[in-house]
Amino acid sequence: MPWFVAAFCLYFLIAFLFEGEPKPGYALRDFGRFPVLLNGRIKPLDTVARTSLLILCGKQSLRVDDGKSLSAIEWLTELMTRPEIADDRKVFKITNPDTLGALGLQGEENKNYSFSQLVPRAQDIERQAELASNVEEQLRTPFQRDVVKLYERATLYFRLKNSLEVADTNDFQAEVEAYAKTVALEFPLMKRARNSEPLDAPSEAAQRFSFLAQSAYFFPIPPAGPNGKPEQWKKMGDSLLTATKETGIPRPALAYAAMATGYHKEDAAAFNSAVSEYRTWLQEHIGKIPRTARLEAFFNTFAPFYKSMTLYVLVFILACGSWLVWPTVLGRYAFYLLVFGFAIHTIGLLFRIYLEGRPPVTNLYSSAVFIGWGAVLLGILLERFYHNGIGSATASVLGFLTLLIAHHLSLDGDTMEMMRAVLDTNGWLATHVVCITLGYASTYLAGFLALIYIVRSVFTSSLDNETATSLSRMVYGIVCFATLFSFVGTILGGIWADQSWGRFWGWDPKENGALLIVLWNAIILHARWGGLVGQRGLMAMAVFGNIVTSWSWFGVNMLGIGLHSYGFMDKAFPWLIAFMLTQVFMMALAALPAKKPLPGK
Amino acid sequence: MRLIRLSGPALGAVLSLSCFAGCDNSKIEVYRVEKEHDSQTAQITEASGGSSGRGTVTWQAPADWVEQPSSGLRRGTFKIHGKDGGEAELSITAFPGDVGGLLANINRWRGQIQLPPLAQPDLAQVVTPLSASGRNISFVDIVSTDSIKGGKKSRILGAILPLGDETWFFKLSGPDELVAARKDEFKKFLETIKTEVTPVLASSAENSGSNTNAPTPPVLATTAAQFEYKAPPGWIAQPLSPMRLASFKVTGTNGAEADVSVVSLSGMAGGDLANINRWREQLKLPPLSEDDIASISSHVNMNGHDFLVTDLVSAERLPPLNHKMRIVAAASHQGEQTWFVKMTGDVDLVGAQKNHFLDFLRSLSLAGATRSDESSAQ
Amino acid sequence: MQVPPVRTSRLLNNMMVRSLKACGRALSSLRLTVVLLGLSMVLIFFGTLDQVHLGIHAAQAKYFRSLFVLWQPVGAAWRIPIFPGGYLIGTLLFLNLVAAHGTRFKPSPKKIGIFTIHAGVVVLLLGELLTGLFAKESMMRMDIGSAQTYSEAPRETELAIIDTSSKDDDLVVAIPESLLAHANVIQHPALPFMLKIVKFMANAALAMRSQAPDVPPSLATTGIGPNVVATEIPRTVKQDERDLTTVFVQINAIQGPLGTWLVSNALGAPQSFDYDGHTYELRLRQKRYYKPFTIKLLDFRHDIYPGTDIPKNFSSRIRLIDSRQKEDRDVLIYMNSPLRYSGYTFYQAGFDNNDKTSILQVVNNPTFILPYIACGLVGAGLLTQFSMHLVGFLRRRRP
Repeated sequence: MPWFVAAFCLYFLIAFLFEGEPKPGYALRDFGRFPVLLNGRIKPLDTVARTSLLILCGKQSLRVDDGKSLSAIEWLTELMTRPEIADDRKVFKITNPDTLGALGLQGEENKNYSFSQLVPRAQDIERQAELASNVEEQLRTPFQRDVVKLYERATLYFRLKNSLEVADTNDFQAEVEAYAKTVALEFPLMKRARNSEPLDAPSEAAQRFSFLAQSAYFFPIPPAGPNGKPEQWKKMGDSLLTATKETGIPRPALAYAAMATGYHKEDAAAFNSAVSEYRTWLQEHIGKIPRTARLEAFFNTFAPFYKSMTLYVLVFILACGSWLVWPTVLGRYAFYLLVFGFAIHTIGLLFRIYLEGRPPVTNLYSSAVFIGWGAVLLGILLERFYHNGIGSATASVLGFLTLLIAHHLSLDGDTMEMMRAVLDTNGWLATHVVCITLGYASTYLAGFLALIYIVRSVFTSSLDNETATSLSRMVYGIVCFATLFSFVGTILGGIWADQSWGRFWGWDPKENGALLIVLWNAIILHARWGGLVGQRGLMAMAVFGNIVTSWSWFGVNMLGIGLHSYGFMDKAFPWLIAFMLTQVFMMALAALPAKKPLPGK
Repeated sequence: MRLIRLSGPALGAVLSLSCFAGCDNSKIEVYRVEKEHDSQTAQITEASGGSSGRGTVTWQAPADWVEQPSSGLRRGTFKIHGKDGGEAELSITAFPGDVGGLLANINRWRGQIQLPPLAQPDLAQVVTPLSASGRNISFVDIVSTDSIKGGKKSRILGAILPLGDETWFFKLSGPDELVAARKDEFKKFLETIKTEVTPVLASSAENSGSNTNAPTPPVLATTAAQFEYKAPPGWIAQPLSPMRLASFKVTGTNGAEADVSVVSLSGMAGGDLANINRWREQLKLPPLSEDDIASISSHVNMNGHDFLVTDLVSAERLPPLNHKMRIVAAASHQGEQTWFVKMTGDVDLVGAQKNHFLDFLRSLSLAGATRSDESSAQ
Repeated sequence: MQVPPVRTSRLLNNMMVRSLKACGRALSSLRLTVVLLGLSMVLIFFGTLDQVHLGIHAAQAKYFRSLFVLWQPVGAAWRIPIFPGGYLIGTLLFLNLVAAHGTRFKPSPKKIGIFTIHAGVVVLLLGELLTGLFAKESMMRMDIGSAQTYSEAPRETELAIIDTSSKDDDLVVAIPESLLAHANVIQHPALPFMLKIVKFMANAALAMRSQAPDVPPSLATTGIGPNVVATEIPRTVKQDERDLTTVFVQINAIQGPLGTWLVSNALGAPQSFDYDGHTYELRLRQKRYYKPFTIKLLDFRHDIYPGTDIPKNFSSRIRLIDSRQKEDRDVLIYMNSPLRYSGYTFYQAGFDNNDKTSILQVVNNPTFILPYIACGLVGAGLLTQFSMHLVGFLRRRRP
């Protein structure tokens, strides 16, 4: 491997390590590594920041007016401690024209609005969301979906704002310290039994903390001791209210209060010292958890899947180039970069497996990532055998597209969410789900190989006999692989269903979708064996496999079974239809005569 | 031929099997069963119920207990009227955690009727364990030694119920004889307490979207203005915090600031003495007794509302600006609510703004308004 | 004169043989396999789409558990078959497979993979057929602390006429829904009176008459019926809703009609009447399957992930009491871990009523083992077949 390719790979891999702190002078990176409990899972604040920002505006960083950009953790810290500034940041991406019209919002070029712009329209948003929520979810119009989503996003924003301290606090640390004094004297809610407090209207502090406890979005206060359970993590407000004379105010609460006040007053020294004190406390008191949280924060910054996506684009360019000029050299470089991209992709998957403690495929997002992984792996094997750039090209296209789909799926929130009761058996997740996903991956791979065949045969004259035969063998081999995995995966799914609710096959839309893939792959094989189709017929059938798999993977989710709707309103539906139409078009192209390859090739 | 021989029986077998399919559904069955104890109520919905959220407590009060609107952190309030005009009040509240523990809370109640606190060993003698809905309730009955109000002794019947990660308090307090007469009723009331975990209605099981932590507090809505006012010039409206119905900030020279708040609480909110002493404490002033109150406060009638206005100045310099601070506060009882309007801040600025404060009081029109999102505090 | 009969019959014979042979060739051809597989894909696709309108169970019955997919033009009473249904395609595939193996396939060690795969497919098809015919699913809803000896069908009702006169037990006469729907008059030796079905509604909306003043008088003359208005509505297609089956039934004794009752599974309490010294209760309820043992729900737990409402696990602790087999033990039933007893399998299916009611799914499927056998066969066959291919491929690549 030439040195400059190796150097490029190395630089690509470690460049991110040299990025500076998001906000110079503040230990925000360490702050982002602190673990909190949210949605049943302990995760670093960095993940909370990134997923919240993704939900609000679809990106993991915020562009601000003077051309710079705010990293997610910086935005979140600002929101939690200096909401008066954060409220003017344009974080709400609203694109639906009806929503904008109903709220009287206009004028922003990139359709991003700030919380302060929404507050005057708060009652309208609530009213519209309430009207819309009376309609069943699958029957809502795009406007109704958008306004309900806007209300949810606004609620998320409000709750984040009131997670560490009540939003209008000027000096939370002083507030907590004053409160601590009353705790030290007696029990928390009453100042002194005899004279002062109105007896059934507890102190203002208690009221504020009660509000804080209700509104907070995540649980930052861990239980002391290494054997704490997730259920014992507390919200800031709760941990203050439940402090007693004996326990005092928990150290984490004091630490967060100091950090909040330090950041609010722009006192970097105070902030940093509170951060490092808490970091030490965490390491001494709660065992392994902070390490996992730090690992996840590192994983977020590393962003392996985005790196792989970029590499796959490069690979595709090089592979296509290798068909035009310098076939061996470009082909080899393409292959190296492909393997490198695959390695990063794998590292990303391994991270996810470790952080979640589960097999690689647990939800739609991870299925997309895994389909890409499987397709790239198969493509690498093909390229290893055939050395004609086709394996690299197909692998890179599929890798890129699936990771792009995964990126869009990640906009809904945390991709490492907890699994529901019926789905959370690692054994079946590791076997049935992985088999089915590999079945999807290989059917797509066969389909894309066929696309390359069709494009090269109809639009270029580069499809000589040798390439055509090898493509044909590749497609056939991959279809065999797909049949194996999708058949076994489907049957394993049936057995899982039998173990769970006594019914091997329920003719459920998802089951039917999987069965369609098995049947189609079987039809391809039988048709080939029976000589019913030639080479071009095989290619056309393989392309149809793309349609069948897309239907099974996404289409069945859009059905809205049981209600009288086909889910046309789903955002991804037009993309699905567009994709299917392109495939039909390609199948039709397969019927066109091939451009004869130039003689002597 | 071999084929026909094979397929014929095969087809026949399949077809005959399918005949069995629909054959057994139309028979009337007769059998004997044991008698059922409950009648089955028809359940229309199947499967996948809701999910647990915070606990709620329900109860059944006797007919002549008059329920009052609940407010703030109170979960329920009842008034019981005695024959001779006396009145007892039952308050039901709940707080997270154990609120300091059994001893501390009983001593709190003892303090309210001016009894000395108990020590831990004496606790068992005073507390009677009761049970309701399978849960343990700690019950106490305490009578004051001196007369507290109107020349009569006061009695408190209290019950403390730990539920999940909250503690519920049921306190019946009032004149000694009235409360004593209702003691059995109160105990029966305690037995009707049922504890449930209310479901937070989950959206469809497939919805992997936004998480739902239990109650969502008011998001953006400001209260529907059910009380009216006119803010004087220079008073800048502030975003509301949950307990404030209105909030203003006034800035003066040299960074001096004053803060104005309007708060409404149900009932007597502890009484005038307690509130004035609370404000005094905020200025680090010593508390006063009932007799002295008259000298530092006065009644004014503004726009049909009677306000008790108090003007307090701190003796020392206080943080954050190391100035003397001043509080001008007005309290008004409107029906079942008590309204507090309070201006706190730098002594000079507050003095300068006092007239504006009175104007503001004059502009208030209080119609027993409550916060529209009160219920979310449950 | 004799017409040579032999020649005619031999001609006919030849024709028959030739056409049979053609049929046989067609039946065993690969082309048929491909066509059948294609047809099944079309069937599955449209069946899935139609589930949106019909609900899963009705679509299953219409497309997959039928010989033909029938189409009913709007307003007409007749139905015509427009597409082969699941049973027909399955049968033809089965025959095609058997025929192909009988004629074209010569047994050889190379083909063992294919043989095993196809055997597995046959077992799968057979398993699905037998399951469709013989498996029974029902539900048990139990509150914590209650004991039950029966399970209920989720989508089928029965009219139970219960003689509660005796102190020790009740005598139940259960009339299935299919009889109520189609029969006019029902008579049974165990009943001293006759039932006339005045009106049967598979699904109805019930309301109190006091809130609907303008409707025609009720068909019912006694019991709750006269106060209730029942309007027929289409069957529900939602998974978690039940049809409120409602029937107007007239009870005729020798002396004459005793009255017309409205019975429905929407009504909470039974209606009763006396006749000839016996007290009878009328109840339209979900069809019950009584078991020879009792299940008592001791406890139900529902854990969620902290700070969310995502369910972590559900579990029911039950006591199984069977006096015949002298069983009396505690069992924990939770997700993916059912109780298998006496041919029945009890799964944790759901819960209700603020976690106070547990819902178990009871399945009785004597042929449940078939898919496991099929899985083994197919898996083994596929592995054999494709590893043979892979080895061959690699051998060829290595120069």
